[in-house]
Amino acid sequence: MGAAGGGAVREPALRCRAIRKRFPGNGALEPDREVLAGVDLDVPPGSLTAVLGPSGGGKTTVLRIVAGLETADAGEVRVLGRTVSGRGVFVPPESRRVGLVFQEYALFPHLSALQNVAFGVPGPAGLTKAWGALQMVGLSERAGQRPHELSGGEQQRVALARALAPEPAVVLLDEPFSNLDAPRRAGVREEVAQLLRRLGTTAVLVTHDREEAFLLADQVVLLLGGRVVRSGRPEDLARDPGSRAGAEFLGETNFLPGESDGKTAVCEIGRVEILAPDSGGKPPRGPVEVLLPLDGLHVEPFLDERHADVASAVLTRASFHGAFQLIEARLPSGNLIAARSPAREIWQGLLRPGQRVGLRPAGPVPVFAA
Amino acid sequence: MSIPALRIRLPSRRLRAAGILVAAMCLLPLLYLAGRAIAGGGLFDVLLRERSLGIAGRTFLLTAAVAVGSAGLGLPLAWLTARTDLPGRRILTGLLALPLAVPSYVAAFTVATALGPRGLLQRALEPFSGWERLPEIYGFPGAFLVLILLNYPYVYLAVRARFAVLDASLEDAARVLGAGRWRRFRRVTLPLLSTALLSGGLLAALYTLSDFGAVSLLRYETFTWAIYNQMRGSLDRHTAAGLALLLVFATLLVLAAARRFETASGPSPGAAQSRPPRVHALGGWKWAGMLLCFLVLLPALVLPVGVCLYWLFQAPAGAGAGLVAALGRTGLVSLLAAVATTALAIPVAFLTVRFPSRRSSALRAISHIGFGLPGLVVGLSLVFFAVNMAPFLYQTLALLVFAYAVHMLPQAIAPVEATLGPLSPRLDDAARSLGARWIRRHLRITLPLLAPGLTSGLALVFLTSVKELPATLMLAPTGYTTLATTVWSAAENVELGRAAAASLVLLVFCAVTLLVVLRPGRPLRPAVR
Repeated sequence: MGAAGGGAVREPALRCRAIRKRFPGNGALEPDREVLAGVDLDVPPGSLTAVLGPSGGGKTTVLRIVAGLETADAGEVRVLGRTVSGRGVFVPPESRRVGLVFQEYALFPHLSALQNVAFGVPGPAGLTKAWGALQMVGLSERAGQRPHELSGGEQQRVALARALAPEPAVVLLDEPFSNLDAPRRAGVREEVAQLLRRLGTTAVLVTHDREEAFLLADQVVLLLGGRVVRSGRPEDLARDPGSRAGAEFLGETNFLPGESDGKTAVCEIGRVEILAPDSGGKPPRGPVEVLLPLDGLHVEPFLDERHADVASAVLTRASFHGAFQLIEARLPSGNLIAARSPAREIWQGLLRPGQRVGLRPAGPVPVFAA
Repeated sequence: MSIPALRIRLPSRRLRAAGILVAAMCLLPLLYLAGRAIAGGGLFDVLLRERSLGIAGRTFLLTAAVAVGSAGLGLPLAWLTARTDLPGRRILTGLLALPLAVPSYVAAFTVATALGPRGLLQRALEPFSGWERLPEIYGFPGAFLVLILLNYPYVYLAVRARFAVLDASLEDAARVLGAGRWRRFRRVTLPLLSTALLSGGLLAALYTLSDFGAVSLLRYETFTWAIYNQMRGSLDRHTAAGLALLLVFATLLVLAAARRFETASGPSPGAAQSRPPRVHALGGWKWAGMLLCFLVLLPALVLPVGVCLYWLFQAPAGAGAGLVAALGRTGLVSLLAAVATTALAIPVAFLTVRFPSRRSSALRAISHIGFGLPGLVVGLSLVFFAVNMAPFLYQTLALLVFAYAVHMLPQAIAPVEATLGPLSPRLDDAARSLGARWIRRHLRITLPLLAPGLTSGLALVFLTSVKELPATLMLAPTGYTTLATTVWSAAENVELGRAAAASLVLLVFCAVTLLVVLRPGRPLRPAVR
């Protein structure tokens, strides 16, 4: 982050630099697989960072390297300013002070909930601590139960209490909500995020669920193809995914080819204003890809041929979802474009397939060099 | 028949009759023995005699020692082959299970003649050391050594199977929570392996209790050898029956315990193994690991074969006389036993898989009695039965095959059940709706679909019959010597060349049968669907 010589800049609770990991293949049939191609990660103390990416994108490998369960081929991991991996150092996982909540929870099936939580804090004093942790997640009355006697949500809370009891410098959560059914998930993840914030715990959450990352995290890190393609506040990512690949993963967008002059771009639906990139750099010039979010388009019935500034298209599909109408339209070039029209903008009844509509961008949009 | 949807699923009369017949057959030896031992007063005589205490004590000592020793040997071997980078672990994994295939009387006779007084080892060492005696091998040490070497694979296989389903992330979780190597093993891995250790150890105990070959040739008087001596030596049937009933109590106790832990050792909750388990780098310890494997395989596999070859070359001419005939007799009786046993397994499997009820689970339990009855006890009971109730059966091949069938029925039931389980009963309904009669339905549909399970059952029973010793000794018609009885009686009479020759024929016969059955791409346990 260019903090060299800054002096007063606080060291992040967790810092990863240029982490690489390659998994050996199987001879000539199956080449080596590069899972991480130089990953940087800075997690400020007390924050909740979400590492977002598709399945098999190396997210879990990052966590396992930070925890010490996997060794990186190159790069450095620092926890609270102490190098735990890299520069010829390897601190084994048992002495890293890193907590981990496993995707399948990995609760010891032969130990009770309390014994599970107390595992990481040995001794009589530890039992008090474990009891406190169990109380914190609201499970003290189930302390004596074995994991298989607990519901999925309760198992998850025990796993969280177990990871928090030794007061780790940073707690890592590997897809912690993926094993819960959808109706329970929303409530549980809200509780977990609140608990982590109340305790001021530094946490890294790995997920493939965009909504989950945006909803819970202070910072979202987008990990694609073994690289961090974008990181920042959730709202920054939502506005500007940083690249076409990022936008495609986050979804709900259209791309149209266009021509940029550095401030505006011309594409098939007309001239659009370009959003300045977060990095402070200049928008690209020349041929570009214009990103048009689903919610960033006004859709209106096409009334008048004389509206020269409105692009016209023919509706191919339309579905009404109560709060909005989802449409797909074919532009004269044959490109398809999707948009979401809020119910309050539907003036004259629902749009029907076959109908001609006018499309207008609602604000500045990101463009990427083609 | 016209409204199949309304047909209530009950076993046909034919099937029920078959089930009752199997149950009666399986109960006969146990009930007849119990009746004789209690009504004849043998049980009470035995309970009141001081000598029984010695027999029981020795049996208990040997059984407990073998169970604990097998666990102590099986656990590290399973860990070495499943979780470390031990060189050659692929080959070792298979080799370490092989001692299961060595009959105890072959191992006992080779160990006794190699390590015993005036044995090969002593003769080889004498010129250098001047030792005229080695530590005593007869009695407890030899029996313990042989039985532990042949039975540790039960623990080894059970623990390996548990390792395979053990969620690797549990050990990772313990690591992240700060547990060092020893604490992870003691608090996480060992407790999770405990049911496998127990069920494997109890199996080892069960086979020790029922072993006859090793304890008789190594002169350690446990129940089986004592019973045999009462029968053959003193012709004292009361005492034999009483001792046999006591032995049955012991085996059924162990069997019940083993069953309990077998059911309890299912995969742990959420143990979907997602990640390959961590492989421990042994470093310099790998030599110690390989030495351990070598120290186990040398006496368990190399020694029996090597010693047999040695005696064979030392043997006088004519040591192999009659072995071809014995081989033929062994093959015939084993084949008959395999066919009969598998045929009996079919109705049991159908009743338990297709018509689960209290009655069919009772049938299943009864049909597994033979697993807990030592072969010697089955033989003894059927001798009594034939002499008193059915003299026309005494000293016939039919009675011997009957004994094998009762003893080995569980081995045939398991694979047939496993094949039948996933087959839909609708297939039979479909054939019926297409107009096929009973015979045609079973010949064209059921039998071909069950074929993998039936072959496995046939092969397993055949192999076990080939090696079976005590029931054969008790029941085989006069002059009907098999390979097993030839080895045993030649070893008893110190005809070492003859024992060696018969042992080698037996081992080769077993190995060839195994190879034929285990042709590549043909699993012994049929894959589901």
